[in-house]
Amino acid sequence: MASRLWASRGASYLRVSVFHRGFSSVLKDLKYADSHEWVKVDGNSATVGITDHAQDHLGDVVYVELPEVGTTVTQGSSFGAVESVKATSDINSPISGKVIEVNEGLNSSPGLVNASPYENGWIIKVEMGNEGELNTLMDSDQYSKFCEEEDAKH
Amino acid sequence: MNRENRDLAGGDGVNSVDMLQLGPELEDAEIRRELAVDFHEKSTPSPATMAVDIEAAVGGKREEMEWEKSGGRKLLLRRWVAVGLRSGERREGEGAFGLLWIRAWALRLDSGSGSWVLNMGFLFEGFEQWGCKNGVFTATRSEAMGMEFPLGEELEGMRLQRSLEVWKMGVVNYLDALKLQEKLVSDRKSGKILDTLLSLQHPPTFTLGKRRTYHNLLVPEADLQTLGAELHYTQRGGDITFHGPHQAILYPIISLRDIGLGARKYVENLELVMIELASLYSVQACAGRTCETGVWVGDRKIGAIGVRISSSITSHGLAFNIDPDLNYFKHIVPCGIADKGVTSLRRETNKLLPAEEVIQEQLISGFARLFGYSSIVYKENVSILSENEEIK
Repeated sequence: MASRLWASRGASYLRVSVFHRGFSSVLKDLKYADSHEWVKVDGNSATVGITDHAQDHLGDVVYVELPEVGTTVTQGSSFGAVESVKATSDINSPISGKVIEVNEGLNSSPGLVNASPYENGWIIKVEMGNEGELNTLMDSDQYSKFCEEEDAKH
Repeated sequence: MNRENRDLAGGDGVNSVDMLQLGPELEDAEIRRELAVDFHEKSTPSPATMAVDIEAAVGGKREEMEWEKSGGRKLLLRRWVAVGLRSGERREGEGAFGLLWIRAWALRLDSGSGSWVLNMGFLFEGFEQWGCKNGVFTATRSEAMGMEFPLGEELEGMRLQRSLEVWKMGVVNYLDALKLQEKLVSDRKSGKILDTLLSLQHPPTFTLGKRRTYHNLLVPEADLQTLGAELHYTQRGGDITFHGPHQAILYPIISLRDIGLGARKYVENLELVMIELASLYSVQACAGRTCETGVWVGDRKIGAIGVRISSSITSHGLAFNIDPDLNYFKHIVPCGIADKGVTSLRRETNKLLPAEEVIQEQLISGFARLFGYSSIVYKENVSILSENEEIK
């Protein structure tokens, strides 16, 4: 019984990659959803955006569809969309609550999502309905690993 | 080789998933793996274990395996051996083995620190819940014959056995196709269906993307009816475009998460599908530069892309001009790009074009190949009924 690693021929037969991939940046104090949105908590309100990994995989964002202030958002449900390379991708909210502010700057500068995904590229601010939901999200280490596993799929 | 042996006696269940380091001796069409499995049996007071060596080969080969129980009795088993899912056949054992069957087994490929490890599970009769959906095995606890298997895991189907279901649909009204896609996206999200590809054409139709770029429509909306065309808004990305007969359309409804692709890479692959198709007819096409997604021959556009991604499930897709009436494009600024023209395969190639269906098939198989599907299943009896009726 052998106990060796796959030969690269085996790997290519299976069309899998065993290369190690570089990391996108992940910030320590944020929480992350598996659909690649981040949340930054500040008291009862939370700021939401998409991660560096997400913006990198999207390409240049040319348009952001923002919800209206006052809209209710639900964890795991779509609240808006970004468009890049002729693809509109839904953005899902990592938490439930009410939208109290949206980043109007994205209307004129959608590229902020690419250039500054965690700062100036923030998308909405939400008054949280259920802080317990934060426990279902990943922390930065878990999210880093999650991204690594996702990228290894092809 | 690592193997985990668990004992039934303590009544705390058996985890029959074995982890093995894969050590292949590769031959041309096969991957030979040596696997060992532990086999537990309940009916004797002191559980006897059986260890077997199995040689497995990829490709759905039927293998007969025979092994001996430690008491000297034999159990003959026959099953399909393939990577991924196969359900087994059961055979009555010889001797007093009546209760034991191999029902199905699944393989999972795990990556961890750069090495590939095969997890293999043996399941016993009574695992009715074992099924393969979208290449995913699900097992739940089962008290079959008093044996408890705390598996409760989803064993992932192997990537190499990804199947694509293709619907060849002829000419379909735009809204009907949209409704169908919405249903399929929802079904794909909930795991009811596999990755699906719609292959079709539309009657003359202008469509706008999410940004509603009306300004790129050069004639009043009312005039479109005289032209015999419809206008629709959609949630896809991209600008205004035209669809019509003799333009091959593919709408993939696939899970990007399952294959680890982001929007950008997905769109690049769609471009490649069309570029490859063009090259079959010696037409050199290329992807557009930044902000000009699509497929171009020189500065003439031959293929367009507009996609929607919702919870990583795609809809809409690509449109490739085989030989549509290019005059329709005069009424729009196609994709919002003012100083470039539109073209078709007919215009660009010197070669004699085969029947359109042939070209559409080439598009489909190119898509399947580029996206790594190992098999294509054509859906039978495809029909679309109008709005309020059930879509078959």
